Amino acid sequence: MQNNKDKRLKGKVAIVTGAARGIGKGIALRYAQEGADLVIADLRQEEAKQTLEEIKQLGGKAVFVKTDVTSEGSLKNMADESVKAFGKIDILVNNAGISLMRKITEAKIEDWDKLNNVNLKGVWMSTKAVVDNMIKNKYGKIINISSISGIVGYKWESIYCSTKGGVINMTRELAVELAPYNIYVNCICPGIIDTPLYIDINFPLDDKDNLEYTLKAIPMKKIGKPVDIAGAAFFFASDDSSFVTGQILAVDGGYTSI
Amino acid sequence: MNKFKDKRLKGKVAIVTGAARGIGEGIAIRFAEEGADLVIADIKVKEAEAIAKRIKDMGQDAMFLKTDVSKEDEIKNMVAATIKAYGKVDILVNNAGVAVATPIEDCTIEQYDYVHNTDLRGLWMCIREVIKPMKSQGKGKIINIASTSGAIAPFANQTIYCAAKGGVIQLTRSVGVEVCRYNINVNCIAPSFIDTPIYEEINFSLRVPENLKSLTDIEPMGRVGTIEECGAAAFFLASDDSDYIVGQTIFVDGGLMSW
Repeated sequence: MQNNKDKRLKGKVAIVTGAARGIGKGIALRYAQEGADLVIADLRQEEAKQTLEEIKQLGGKAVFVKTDVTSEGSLKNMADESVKAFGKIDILVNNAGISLMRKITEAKIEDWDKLNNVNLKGVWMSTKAVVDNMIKNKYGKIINISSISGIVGYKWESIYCSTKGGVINMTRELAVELAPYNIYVNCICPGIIDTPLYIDINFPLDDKDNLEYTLKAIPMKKIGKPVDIAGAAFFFASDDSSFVTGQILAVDGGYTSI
Repeated sequence: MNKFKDKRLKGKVAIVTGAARGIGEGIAIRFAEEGADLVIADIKVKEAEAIAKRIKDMGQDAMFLKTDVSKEDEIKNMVAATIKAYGKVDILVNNAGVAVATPIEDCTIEQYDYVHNTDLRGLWMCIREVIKPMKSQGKGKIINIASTSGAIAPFANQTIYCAAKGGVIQLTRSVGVEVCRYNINVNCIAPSFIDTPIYEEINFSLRVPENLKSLTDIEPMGRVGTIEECGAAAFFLASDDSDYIVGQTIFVDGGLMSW
């Protein structure tokens, strides 16, 4: 893990939801390397502490705020605690998400509600919780983590695809609505990234058949890593994206181009 | 010029076509700030030499190669001379472009060929020429400059230009998929309205207030972009941060495409 000489996010305060592990953790660590102060917002206390520890080893500052993105009260607390710790909120990464592989014939309404409450309503509510502070500061960078499943149909993920497609067009609307306040809203669609999510959905990528099946669909013939998503999330958080808003960027090794 | 302490393109060699001015200039200067050495490929001798000098004054190497990207032999020479001078080519930015604005019934075949020979055919030839060296290097970054006019058509009289730029976006996907297994990332930037001299050439000066207003009125951010902002997006796609990104088009458009 390199520690950059340039701190290109110096003085910025970033909330990353779901930063205890996987893609969210990768983004948080990169932001810390670039000098940002971090709020680790997650339900998973033990793993979040590990992220916190790694940020401190990089010389960064971070706090953990136990957060449930399906709870309006919990999100209000997340925003309040961020302002209390660091004085403001510059960057929000809406990364917290859950997945499910289940045929539509077997999926239940409860599955629909569970995924939508986190992946879609949770993004909207998280944004709502921090946007007042950003409007007041006339500055904000919001980065939504959608998925290639928001662009193409991933078999047996009818609910997940619906939530992630929703995030994409919410990004466009919020970009247009918030542009006058100097708030940027962009979206990253990760492809197949090596994270614990695939274990959650009983599709471990270290299984030979799963991996072979998956690689067939990826022109680059390799699985991505959280650091790949972090690179794009850094671009959208930095001044380098000062004329970029409403964008949907697939970081997918070519998955959605074929 | 020490804007950055990290040189995040240190040791890289980049060819930027059309780098004498405008968006190409913004990209070349940003790459130099990040520690890259530059090949300025353009037909405009005086302006290109001035950019090369600016880059040398910044402490990076720069070489001007007079190149018309509508001519195959000049492109071959551009790549061969780059390899001869630096031994490799890490980054190619296909930025050279021309535009016309004419109602379709008045367009000539010559106008069509003039725009497409540079904006689409020339771009394709430049990619073709660098793939071999990039393959043998085991890594490469190609960044095509399209336009929002490659995906939407906010103005009349741009049939030829829109067709060329739409071609660039799809070519990006196609060649992106074809060469990504060699660790060559091909991606695209599609700017909307950027303050450059191209507007003078199509008799639509941004110094005329009503011209400027007609553009800023349709931009969610309420302004036009700068060449530095295009340089910043190109830097992202030229850096290691884009190593898993293939065939993508980033609209540097202040939100224009989103409404």
